[in-house]
Amino acid sequence: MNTMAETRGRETGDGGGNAVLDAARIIFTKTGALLPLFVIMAIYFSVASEHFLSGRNMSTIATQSVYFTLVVIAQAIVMITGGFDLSVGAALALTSITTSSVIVAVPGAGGIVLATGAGMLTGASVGAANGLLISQFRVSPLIVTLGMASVVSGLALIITGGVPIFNLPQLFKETLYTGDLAGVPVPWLVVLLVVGIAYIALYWHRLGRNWYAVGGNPVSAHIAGVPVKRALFLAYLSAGVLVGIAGVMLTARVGSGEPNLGGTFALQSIAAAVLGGISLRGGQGSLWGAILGAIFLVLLQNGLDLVGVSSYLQMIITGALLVFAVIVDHYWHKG
Amino acid sequence: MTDTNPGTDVLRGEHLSKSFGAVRALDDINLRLGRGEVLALLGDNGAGKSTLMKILTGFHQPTSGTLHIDGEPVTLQSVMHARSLGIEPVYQDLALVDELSVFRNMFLQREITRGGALRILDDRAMRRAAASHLERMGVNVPSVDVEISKLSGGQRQAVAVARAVYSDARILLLDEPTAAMGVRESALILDVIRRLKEHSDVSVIIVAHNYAQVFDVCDRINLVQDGRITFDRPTRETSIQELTGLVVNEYRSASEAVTG
Repeated sequence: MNTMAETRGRETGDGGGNAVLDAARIIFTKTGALLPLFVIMAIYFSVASEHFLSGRNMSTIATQSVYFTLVVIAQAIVMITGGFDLSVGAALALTSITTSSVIVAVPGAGGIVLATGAGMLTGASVGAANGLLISQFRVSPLIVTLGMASVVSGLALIITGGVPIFNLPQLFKETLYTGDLAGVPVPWLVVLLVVGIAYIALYWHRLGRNWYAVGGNPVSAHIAGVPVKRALFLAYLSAGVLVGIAGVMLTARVGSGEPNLGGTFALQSIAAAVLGGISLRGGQGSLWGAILGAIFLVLLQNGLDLVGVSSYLQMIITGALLVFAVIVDHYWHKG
Repeated sequence: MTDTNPGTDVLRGEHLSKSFGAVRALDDINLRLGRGEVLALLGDNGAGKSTLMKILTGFHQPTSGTLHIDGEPVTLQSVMHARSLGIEPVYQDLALVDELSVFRNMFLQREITRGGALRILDDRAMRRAAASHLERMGVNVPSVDVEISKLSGGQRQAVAVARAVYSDARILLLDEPTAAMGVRESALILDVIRRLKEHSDVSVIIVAHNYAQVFDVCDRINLVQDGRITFDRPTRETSIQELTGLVVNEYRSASEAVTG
């Protein structure tokens, strides 16, 4: 059938139908279970809620997607190397605390710059610690990042005594949340920049190729001369920096330093990445798949909110989706 | 190219012995490999072939004896050191990353880059170079963009050999390259080795226990038995029958020794 379509396309000289088919197949193979889910969900929510497809809601979704997408890209990078990071949520919270602390201590625009730096440094430190333990001491990512999540959460709570840091200057919010550059909201600019850099690192640079190689088969990669430890360390470090950026941006949005920020991000970011075709076994999946997965989960939550599904039930749905996606991934990559 | 004299030996081992505690795995081995020569190391499992290979790859150091490369005595410190001297082992299962495409595997960690300091990967150049190199070596793959996991065992091994040759290896060590492969699959690899022999002066050591398979492709045969090289002759001066006889004799004497 495929060949027939191909011949027909060549005969009529357009090949349009075939190109669409090919594109669909590529998207499908690269993103696993995501595409059919996407279609079903979009149809359902647009029928169930008149607000779902409104321009206002779409803009909300776009802004909401920014923070989550940053974390999912971080998650995707370490998953491509064959690991995962359960400490992203906790790192987000600690980032929020250090950012807020610095901004409260140092007034003015200089404080915002310093705070942003401190936030990114916090994320980077957590990532570096993860990377060091996983690459040098060969402890499993599960244990390292699970332990790290507890340590980092504890730190955030100790620093704040469990109380959020309020009274962040309005300028912070106006710059990193509601601010815009030539009409483009700053959060969008940040995510575009990050996606661009991540794309270059993953596909235009040896580092990204090494990440895929290490995730595919660390022994073969080592034999081929790939510096496996270094690649692993840099993956977790990069993820930490991305989480740091997300933490700073999110703090600007909520307008306070929250020691409980990002509590569900670890599970949700893994779910989004797997839905987007990033294999839990490493070495497989694409940046675009991960981004699609992130947008999908944000859309889903938004739609469920609009339809009036409780957040408790949403927890069940997210968890079930993750397990479903892993099962699909398993069969998909086996065949 | 098959006529070699000691002066052009690319690799020579003199009085190599290796003991693991009380176990003497290699006992006074003398080995030589000419430039462009294909040498088959035959022998049963446990005869010492693997230990010898591990010494040549730099994984083990011999207990006594010396290795010479191009006539110079060397002590191989590590696998990386051996590789830097042009000794490239090709592993059956571990040579390639299944999840990466053919060309990405071929250029793994020696990618072609452009853009100066930015070192942007030049996929187009790598695809082209991989395709033409594979064609020269007679390796048939559907496309250089195919994932390794989609290839047959023979194709994989052939790509692995091509990759090693592309890395400027001077001595290829193939450990059981046709193990667990059908006749057609084995033929793929043997063809690649044959072509290598015609078009380059890369030397090859093939470790095998199925000597019928490698008989046609090698220039010289060494039989490893009980930690020693018991037979060393050019392929054209021996036959499969003779080799079979030698192996059967050893088997017989071994069982006689056991049954006493």
